[in-house]
Amino acid sequence: MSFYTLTGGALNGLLLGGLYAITALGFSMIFGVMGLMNVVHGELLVSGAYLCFFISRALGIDPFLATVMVAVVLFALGYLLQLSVFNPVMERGIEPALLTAFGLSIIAQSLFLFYWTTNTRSINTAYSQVGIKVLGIDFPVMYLISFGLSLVLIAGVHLFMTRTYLGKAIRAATQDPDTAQVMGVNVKRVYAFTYGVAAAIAAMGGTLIGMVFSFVPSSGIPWMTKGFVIVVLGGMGSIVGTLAGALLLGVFEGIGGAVMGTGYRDLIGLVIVLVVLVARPAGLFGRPS
Amino acid sequence: MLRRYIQWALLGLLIAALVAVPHVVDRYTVFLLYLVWLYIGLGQGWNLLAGYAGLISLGVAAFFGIGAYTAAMTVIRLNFHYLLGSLAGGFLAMVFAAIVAVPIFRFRGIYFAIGTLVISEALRVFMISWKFTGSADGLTFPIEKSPSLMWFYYLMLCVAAGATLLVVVILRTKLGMSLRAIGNNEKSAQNMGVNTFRTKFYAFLISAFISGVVGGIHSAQMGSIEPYSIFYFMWTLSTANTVIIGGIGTILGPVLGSIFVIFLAELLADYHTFHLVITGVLLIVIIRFIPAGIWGEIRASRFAEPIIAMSKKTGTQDGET
Repeated sequence: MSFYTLTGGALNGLLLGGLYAITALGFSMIFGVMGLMNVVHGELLVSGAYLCFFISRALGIDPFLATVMVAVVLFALGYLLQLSVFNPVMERGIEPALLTAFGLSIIAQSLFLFYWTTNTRSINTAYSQVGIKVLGIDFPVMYLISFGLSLVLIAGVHLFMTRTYLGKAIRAATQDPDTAQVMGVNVKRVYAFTYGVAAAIAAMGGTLIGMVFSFVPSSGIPWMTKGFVIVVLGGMGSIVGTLAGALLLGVFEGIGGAVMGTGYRDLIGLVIVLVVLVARPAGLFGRPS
Repeated sequence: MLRRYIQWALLGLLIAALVAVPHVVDRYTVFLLYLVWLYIGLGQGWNLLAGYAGLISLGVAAFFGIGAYTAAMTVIRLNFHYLLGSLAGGFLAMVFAAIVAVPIFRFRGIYFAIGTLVISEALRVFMISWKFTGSADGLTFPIEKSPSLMWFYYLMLCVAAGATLLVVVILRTKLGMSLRAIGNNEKSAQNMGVNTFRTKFYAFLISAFISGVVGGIHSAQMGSIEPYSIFYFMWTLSTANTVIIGGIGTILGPVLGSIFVIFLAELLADYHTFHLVITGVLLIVIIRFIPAGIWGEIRASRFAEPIIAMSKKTGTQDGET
């Protein structure tokens, strides 16, 4: 196989990894801060995609502009969700919260199905399907945009976590919720805020999914699974690790896809995860628990 | 002594009723009952892990699907009889469980749950592409050899009863006690000398076997299978649902839960979306407010005391149902 196909696959995979990072960031944050595997994250992504699709069409604006509105809506939704549904259940352990997330997942998927049918949707703009050629390799413009966005977003979240008071409060709650509470951090509100932010980021992720790929009501679970793969690869709870994990996954998928064909591409990440976990249960960048 | 006779008589009556029912009700109700047995079977297997050992497995669909495909392949390609095919399905599911147990048991709690989900998803993606098993088109059973719905009703009833009995028996053995110890506190169990890996391993295998057999039978009943619906996450979710609603960690829980869920589905059959939404809401509400499930709450309530006391007096070993 040609050198171009292989490097092209790897490089495009790297860029796509940026998109993956955005879709997985919220999932990673929720897991890092609260220990909750947010199984309904996929549905948050898909709802972001649907909302952006309809709002951008109804108002005739660019999807990225619509995303800002969707992000606000999803932030509010996420905040309320954590505050009213997850917080009370989490006191009894994390498994009930996990199952509750499943319940939400069913509800969300059914509502998507009911209101928006099984029609495959995608968000199209003048530039969403365009590619450019660099050194003989084709790069979709959207891949480049998402990659850039991911760097910005990851840097932004990282700075927020380290430089702002709220960010430090979140990290305190992550390390030791009880002590943080004693020190004056309202842990419940911190959790709610984290979930809200994660949902808002998912809005962005959803838009990108809609523009680069297509989606149906049941698209949530495969994306959530990918999020899990990335969290494992990048280390549970590490923000920069999420980016690293996502880029790695992208590259592996790109190379694997070039070698084995696209049918098995999604499988690659999953197999790699299992292999990594046998060798290093804390993930590649994670702190051993 | 009289109480003993009454208990046996009631049991006999129940059996007679279950045997006679398909002959007196319409075909659709028979199908609904068939589904109830199906979910009881899946539920008991899932409950063994989740209810007693605290291991939430989200991979039910994987084993169910393996059982379905194995049965289909052996019946279609190797001319197996349906029963043998289903058993082969359970067996292969068990083998798969043994293989994935090695990496997956490295996880605790929530990682284990997601790990099983990942495996289930991976299998689904794989089966959609694998040509050997018909890839996305799936497989179809030969129509001439297909048994009647009634036959499947009885078969699934036996499986449900068998699974329930199996769980009852297991709980009285050392394996059962070890499972409950792990569910209580894994570290303590380990300190007390319980081989936690082996215990979880065996329970995992048994659960996979049951799911595989159920899957094998169901694929024969459906007549044709394809990877999208057979490995679909809904199987896992519904199984967890019936057990949680019915009462996790009890023997009767899966039974009551299955009956409740299937007939609720039937009630809301015309409002499919509404039904799914209700199911999700029910799950959330039960987890939050009634975590012991229907049977769990009944057992703990004051109304149940006299009844349980009565059954204790007539000599049922530990009064546990």
